[in-house]
Amino acid sequence: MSCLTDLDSADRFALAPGVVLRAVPEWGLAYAYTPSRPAFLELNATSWAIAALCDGATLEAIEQGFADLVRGLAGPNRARDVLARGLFDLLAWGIVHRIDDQGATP
Amino acid sequence: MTDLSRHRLYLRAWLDAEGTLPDAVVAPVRLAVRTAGSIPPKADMARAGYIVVVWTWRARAEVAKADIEAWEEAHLAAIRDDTANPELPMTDQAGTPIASAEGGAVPMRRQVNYHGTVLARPSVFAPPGRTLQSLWGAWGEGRRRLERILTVKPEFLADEWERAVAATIHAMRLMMEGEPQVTIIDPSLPL
Repeated sequence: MSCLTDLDSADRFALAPGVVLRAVPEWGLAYAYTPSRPAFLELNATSWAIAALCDGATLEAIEQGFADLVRGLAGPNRARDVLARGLFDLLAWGIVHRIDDQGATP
Repeated sequence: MTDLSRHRLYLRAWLDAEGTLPDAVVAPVRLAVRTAGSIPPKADMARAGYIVVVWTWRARAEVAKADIEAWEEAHLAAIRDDTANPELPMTDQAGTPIASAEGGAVPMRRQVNYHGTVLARPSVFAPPGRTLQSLWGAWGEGRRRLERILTVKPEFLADEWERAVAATIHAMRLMMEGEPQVTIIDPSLPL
């Protein structure tokens, strides 16, 4: 399992292979199915937002995108803290993973 | 607009409505097995004179999902009395056992059944509101019993089981805003 302190701002993140993410916008949540460790998971709006930003972007870009998304709702420190814990959870549950420049898991 | 952009707009709107940034939460979905019973196939319903009574009602603002679930458990416990309302082989209205349209065997059913309370929404895309639908089924003598349970005050009922179930209906009415709209589904009537 990764820990965010191991991560570099150039690290890139994407949905893990085979993960199905289905948004339910009217309820403000999304569901994820992780076939590698069969589980059906519910993501609240914040987790969903973080997962949506993990489209192969670097951690730096995800941080910027998240800060833009929550501007006015939380200060920079709170946004960074929520993102760090949220991304850690998504990695721990196997919903997103770290990829190298070729798109493979390092 | 891409799906991702659309999702980001939804998320921004949702978070704006929250007014604050909630912590990120990922939690396993706990799939609940519904406690209420299934509705028989239409052909069995037609042969046995099985009706489904639907109440469409609006929950009062202070009624929470947990209140409805707690009510539902108490209501089911009252209905599922194996002495007063046992499972019986289904018969037609002349008393002849019917063969199920699914499998051929004689189906076993309580004469009064509860089929559940669900959200009533005009489409799957409509936001969930406070309008609910509660469904009961009945055949044979159960048809008259269900009518009594749903319409007569518990204290005016002589039968102990009917009184107990009617008391749960009284509790349900306390969760309602106004009166329920009643629909009867009766496949024994010709189209």
